[in-house]
Amino acid sequence: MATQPWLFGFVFGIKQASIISPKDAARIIHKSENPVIAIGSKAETDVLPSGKNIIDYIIEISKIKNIPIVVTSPFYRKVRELYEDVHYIPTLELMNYLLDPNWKLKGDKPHDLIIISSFEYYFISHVINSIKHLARHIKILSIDRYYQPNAHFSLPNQISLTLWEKNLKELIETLKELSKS
Amino acid sequence: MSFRLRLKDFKSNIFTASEVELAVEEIFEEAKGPTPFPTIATLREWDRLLLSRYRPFYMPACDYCCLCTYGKCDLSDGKRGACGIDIRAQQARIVTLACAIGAATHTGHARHLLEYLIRKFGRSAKIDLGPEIRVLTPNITLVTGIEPKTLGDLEKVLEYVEREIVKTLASVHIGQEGDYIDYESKALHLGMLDHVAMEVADIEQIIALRFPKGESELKFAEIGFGIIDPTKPTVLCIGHNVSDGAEIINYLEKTKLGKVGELIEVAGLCCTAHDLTRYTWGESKIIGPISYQLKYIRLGFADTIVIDEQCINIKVVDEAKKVMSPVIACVDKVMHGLPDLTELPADEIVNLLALGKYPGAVILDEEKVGEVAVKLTLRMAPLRGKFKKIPTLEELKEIAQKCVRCHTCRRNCPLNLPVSDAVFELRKGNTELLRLVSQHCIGCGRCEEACPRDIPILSLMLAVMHEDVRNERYKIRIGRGPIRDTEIRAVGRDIVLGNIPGVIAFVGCANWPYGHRDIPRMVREFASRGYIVVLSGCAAMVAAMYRNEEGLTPYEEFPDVFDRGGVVNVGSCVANAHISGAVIKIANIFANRPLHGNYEEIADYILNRVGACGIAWGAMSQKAAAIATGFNRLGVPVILGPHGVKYRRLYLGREDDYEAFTAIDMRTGERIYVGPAPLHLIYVAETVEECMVMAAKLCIRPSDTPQGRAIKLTHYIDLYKRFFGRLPPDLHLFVRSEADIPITFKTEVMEYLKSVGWKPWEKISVDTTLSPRVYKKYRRG
Repeated sequence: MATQPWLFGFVFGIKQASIISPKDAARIIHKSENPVIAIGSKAETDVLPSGKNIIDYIIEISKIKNIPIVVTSPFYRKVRELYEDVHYIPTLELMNYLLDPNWKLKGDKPHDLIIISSFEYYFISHVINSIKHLARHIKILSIDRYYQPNAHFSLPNQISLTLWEKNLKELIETLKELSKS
Repeated sequence: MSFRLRLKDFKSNIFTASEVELAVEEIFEEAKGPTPFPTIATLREWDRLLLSRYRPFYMPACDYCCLCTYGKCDLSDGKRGACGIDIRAQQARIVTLACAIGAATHTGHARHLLEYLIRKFGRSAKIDLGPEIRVLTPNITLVTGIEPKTLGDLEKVLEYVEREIVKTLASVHIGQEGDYIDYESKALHLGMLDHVAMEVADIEQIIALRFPKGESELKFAEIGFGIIDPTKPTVLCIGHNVSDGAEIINYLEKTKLGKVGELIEVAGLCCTAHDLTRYTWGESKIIGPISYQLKYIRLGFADTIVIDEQCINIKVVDEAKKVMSPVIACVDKVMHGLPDLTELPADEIVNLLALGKYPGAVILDEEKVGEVAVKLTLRMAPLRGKFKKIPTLEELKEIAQKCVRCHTCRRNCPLNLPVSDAVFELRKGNTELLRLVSQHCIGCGRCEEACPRDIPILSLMLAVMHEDVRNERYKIRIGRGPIRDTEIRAVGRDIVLGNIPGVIAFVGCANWPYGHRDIPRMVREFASRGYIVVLSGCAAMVAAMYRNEEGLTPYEEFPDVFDRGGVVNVGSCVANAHISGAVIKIANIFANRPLHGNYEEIADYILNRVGACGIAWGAMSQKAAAIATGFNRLGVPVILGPHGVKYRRLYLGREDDYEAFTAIDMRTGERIYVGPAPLHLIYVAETVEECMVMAAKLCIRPSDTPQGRAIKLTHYIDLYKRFFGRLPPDLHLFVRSEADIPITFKTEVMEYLKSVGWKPWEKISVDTTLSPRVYKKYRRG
């Protein structure tokens, strides 16, 4: 089950995301020179068993590596009250910008990694195909609950919310360790 | 064009004559304008101008091309296929194909209707839309340069459209077009043709079938699951082509079986329902949009189902069989394997179907369909007893015990709805989650197709929706057809100057992302703000499915006027041509821009001056792709709902691309910055809030006067602040001078402008063009 797209129809072809562990995800983020995080419209309802929202973990990741967060829905309004380095950019405009290696939300180097979570599955699966096919300078990492075949790297399907939360914690712990070294 | 024939001496068996002169005058007015009957390459330069600003943004839905036996060819990582095609051109090719399918579908519809109407009313039936409409066919005249006067004249228009579709479709063959921009130009060409075909289809039915001709404040029709009197025999028409439904009504009248609804209920699903209410002036009923199809059949109210064409669920015959409803297929494009009984007498067909010899029949004769449908319905009603296969609430729990929550249903749901959790909850007797799911469900039935335990999930939904179904009764304004020239004259100025903030058109299908309540919400928002709201198709239907605190639907709450704060239902899918027709007429009637064969100039005018924006929130079909692309070529931006990403291609502008947002100042000939107005040409919004903000922004145009720009910015800022809690970060790009700043936000906007180092623009013009050809034509001095 873990190797299949969450929605069965979403088989796009020969290139599918490598399934990675939370530790691998942390290493990819650590290695990136200028990552950006994009959080979709489902974030507001992505509440984990501990009572934390996905955005709490996203902010932790952002703080460790100083990564800007783009929230693509009106949830932005609430997130902005929690954290400063958050931006509202509509998803399609963000992806269009990211196709251009000269565009930067933050930093001097081109964005080389986009980390995604909490989008409508069918929506983001198609949208990131733009980057998958038409941008060589940037990779896509999905840390969503569900395996995202059109990313370059993705956590597996994690039907259990408890497992997803455990994986997010492991990712953050690893990232903290890597950042210390 | 005219000709004269002079015969000096004429002899026949009947009479002899000398000096006979036969004259045929003005069969057709000569096609006029710079680009009459444009072919593929004619408007290529205009397309390239558009696409240099609004660049194609591709989201390939497949790594491969699998259209020929060289393949499958892997086009990922920049590879080219065996024929040489790359991933961009392949996407543009598929979009072209989708637009060809869409345009061909409307053209096939128009052709079928035209043949039927000419058979019935003759070629010489006049095109007359009443005293308030002199520009009868804005799309046709704009594209072809001619003004058709009769039904027969429309044949020439359709011949042109058919020829162009065939030529353009040929470009999709292996080894033809290879450049993605040229493919996009072809898609735009097909979109333009689609609007011509839609106009033919709707104009011909308006004049021949005596539909409303643009009158305001027409009566209401009823809409909803609960509108049918279950004690009466019911015939249900599904599809888009009204000819057969009209003959059902005619037969009822001819045989004095009473008006619609007296002895027999006549109801429709999808656009044929719109057109039946236009034909009966509100007596027939609308069940709802296409997403209601499978569910309504299962409810068992229909004693006979008549299918015509487009958007019909392919399972219709199987589904109808389950509830003992015979199916009549009336169009040769849609025969579903049923036997063709056209040549049999009507009573014999009724006998065969009532006895269950066949599950349905093809009848390719509209009048016979009318007779058979009525007789069969009367015969089937007592036999069926409104037979349905919906479990009782008691049975639900038992059926749900089969569910092991494997999530297969959810993983096949286009909306990723928590179907599995909802069905599993039923095991405990909790129906609430399934009820919630059913409100968002688009009724495709993929969940139960996939269920390994054969749980009839749609039927379970219907069981828990019982009360909702019974009470769902709303009022919808009958589709009025065209916008009147007098209305255009009255509001053209305010639209072009920006005093009316925009025209928002809700169009398209029923693939709603979050249930259908988003449409009435947006309709009310924009109408309350003074935008002109126009609607068509399934979007027009669901707009009615909401009541405000006073119990009024949007059609009752807002006036049916093409004016500030009006909410206008133009009708079915093909009535979309009246929306494009209205923006064309603004350029022609208000601004006196020549119409005949003058596409580029009119489109350029619309792009620069007419603040209109389409919203196809549930767009699903290839027809929707063609309609949207036709609006795009005409300079009208369109926003799609989140499923719109599956069309693979958008036309996006970039706010930081200052060069792209320059235009020629008509006064000086200088190329000047005009701001990102409109920013995109076709766009997908992820959320309804994003859609509303974007729609307000996409109504901004370079021609706005300071007052008009301030009004438009008021709505943009207000919506942005409401949803995102701050001023829009691109605000400075739309403020040309302090006079543009909305008075209500003056202080904070000034502070913001100061913070980003804004300065008043040195060069401002409200008279700009994207086209060097238009500039050359009107160059002063």
